[in-house]
Amino acid sequence: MRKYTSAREIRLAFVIPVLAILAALSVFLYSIFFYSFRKTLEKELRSKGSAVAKTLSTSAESSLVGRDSSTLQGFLDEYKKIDGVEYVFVINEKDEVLAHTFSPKIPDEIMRANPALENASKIRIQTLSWSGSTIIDIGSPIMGGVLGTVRVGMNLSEVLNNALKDTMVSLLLVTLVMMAISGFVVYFKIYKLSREVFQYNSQLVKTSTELETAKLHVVHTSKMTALGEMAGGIAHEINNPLTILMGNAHQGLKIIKTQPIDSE
Amino acid sequence: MIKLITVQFASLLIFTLNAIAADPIILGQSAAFKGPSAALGTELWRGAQAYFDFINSQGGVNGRKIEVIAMDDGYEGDNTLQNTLKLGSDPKVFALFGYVGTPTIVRALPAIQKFNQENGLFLFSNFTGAQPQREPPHDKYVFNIRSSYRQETAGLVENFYKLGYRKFGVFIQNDAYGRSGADGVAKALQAKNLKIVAEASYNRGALLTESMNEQVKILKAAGAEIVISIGAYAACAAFIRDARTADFNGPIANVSFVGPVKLLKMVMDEEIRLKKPLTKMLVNSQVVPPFEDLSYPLVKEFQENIAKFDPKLPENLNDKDYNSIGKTNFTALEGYLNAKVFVEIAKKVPVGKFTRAEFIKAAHSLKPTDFGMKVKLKFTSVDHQASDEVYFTTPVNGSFKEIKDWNSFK
Repeated sequence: MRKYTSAREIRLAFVIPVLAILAALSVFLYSIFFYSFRKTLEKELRSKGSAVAKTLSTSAESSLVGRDSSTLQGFLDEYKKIDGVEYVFVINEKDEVLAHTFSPKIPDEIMRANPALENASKIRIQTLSWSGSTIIDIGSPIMGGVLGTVRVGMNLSEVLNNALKDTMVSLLLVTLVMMAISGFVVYFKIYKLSREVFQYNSQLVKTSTELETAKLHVVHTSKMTALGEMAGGIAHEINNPLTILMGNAHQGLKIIKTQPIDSE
Repeated sequence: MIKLITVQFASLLIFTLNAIAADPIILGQSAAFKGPSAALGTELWRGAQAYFDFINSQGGVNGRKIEVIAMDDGYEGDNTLQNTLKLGSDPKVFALFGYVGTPTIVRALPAIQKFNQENGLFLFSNFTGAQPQREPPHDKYVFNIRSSYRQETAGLVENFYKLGYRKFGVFIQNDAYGRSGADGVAKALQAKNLKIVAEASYNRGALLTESMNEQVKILKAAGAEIVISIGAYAACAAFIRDARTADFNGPIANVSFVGPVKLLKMVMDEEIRLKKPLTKMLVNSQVVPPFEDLSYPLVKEFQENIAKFDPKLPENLNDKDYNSIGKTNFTALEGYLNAKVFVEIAKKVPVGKFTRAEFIKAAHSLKPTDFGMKVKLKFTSVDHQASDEVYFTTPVNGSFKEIKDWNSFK
């Protein structure tokens, strides 16, 4: 196990994982959000594009028969102004271009994409990628395909980018603020906690030092006591024979004094 | 006593009549006076105003002066529609006059139709040769003076076909105007069992500095021998420059709306800058005679009246960035002609009955009249286009001259 040598280290050790978890959670949530947002937008663009294509193919019916294409071009130019509409063009039943909104011409890959179906009277939708953008291409037949087709391209990437541009900034801001607040709260809480822990710790250290001193003292004292006792014991052990010796010596002296050795 | 009363009554009557007569005939105009197309509205207005000034100086039409309420639309359809709604609901406005542009007029037509149904409003003359206002239902309440783009392009196709050209390419502005011209070329070729070999478009508002190399490449790749341009001067000048630089040496034709004077000036400036001949094999179809050709009586009086009256736009419509293309030009001459035809018809409306219905009746009975263009103009109840004349011009020493010999374009 790691040893923390300072309160700062402890604080960081808590704050970093918390922020990491928060970041991971945000990324996860935002991914889900973007995915469903894109799905919803795609659905909406499909229906918007279909509405544009259907309206145009209906109005084209009357302006195609024996009329000048400039009226049709006028319609196209107006529809091109609608948010998300990347291009609009009208081809006749022989795939000849009648009017379009491209410059300088309709790119071949777009022309070839989304070809007429077996059942020519049905609206057809295809997703294609063109010059770095995802385009939802909608083909709507004019008069059941007899007069040709209206093709409308909705730029999903652009609409998505435009929609997210503002959302992204606010989401990022919210995330950063959230992370800053939680980081600060965690840091502050841990700061308080770690300070208490370190206070207890230092007290503990102090107590244990005192204890150690006391212990040493006690050991010394008991050592001295034992020495004392041992000295006492030794003295006693010496004393006993000495006492006997002393007694016997006194007895001897007494005997000597009362009974001279020669008179015998 | 009775005599005195009669005299007093008579003078009162004259006074009242004068008061009625003093009411001006007011025309409403929506055109591009500002922005990149300022030349069109400004010059069309100047030409018409020169004639109105002349007529007003002569006492007006049966004593009534002619005034124009002009509004700027910047060549944007939405603005044209708004202006039309304002002018159409203004009870002072007698008729709409001198609109400019195809994408603009295409937006205004339904509004004019609405007013026409309510109160008989109509549009007299406009600076576009597109089809919508020449076809039902709009042709009923629009009087066109000039030939159509269809006639201009058909004339170009016809002349070049005669010279042996078969592979026609078109360079068009990406809007209703360009489409109208391309349609005209396609229709004219269809009659000869031919098709346009390639079409290349550019976005409206393109500048001279922009490259048209992509467009040149598309047309060259398809083997076009001649290109008919339907666009505005800056883009068409850029196209001529880039086509010639890429060694496309076939004829390049432009139509009246391009702004021929400005086009030629730009091409000539590029010629000097690049030190490369750019003005060869250029043709410009026109709906009025060359504006400097004094052999046309219309041109002569136009030059005189422009010089004499030199009309200046009201301050609020004046675009400070607009560089005049010269006091006289094709557009101003067309404006002058429009005004002249209007006045001619207005003079035929019975005095005191100057209503929209009476004016239309007078217009429908306009007998073939020579306005000084060496051809006769007329209206009938089924034909609301006065002129069918197309003039083909080519630049000679910096100005447009009528083409006398087509063989030089072989």
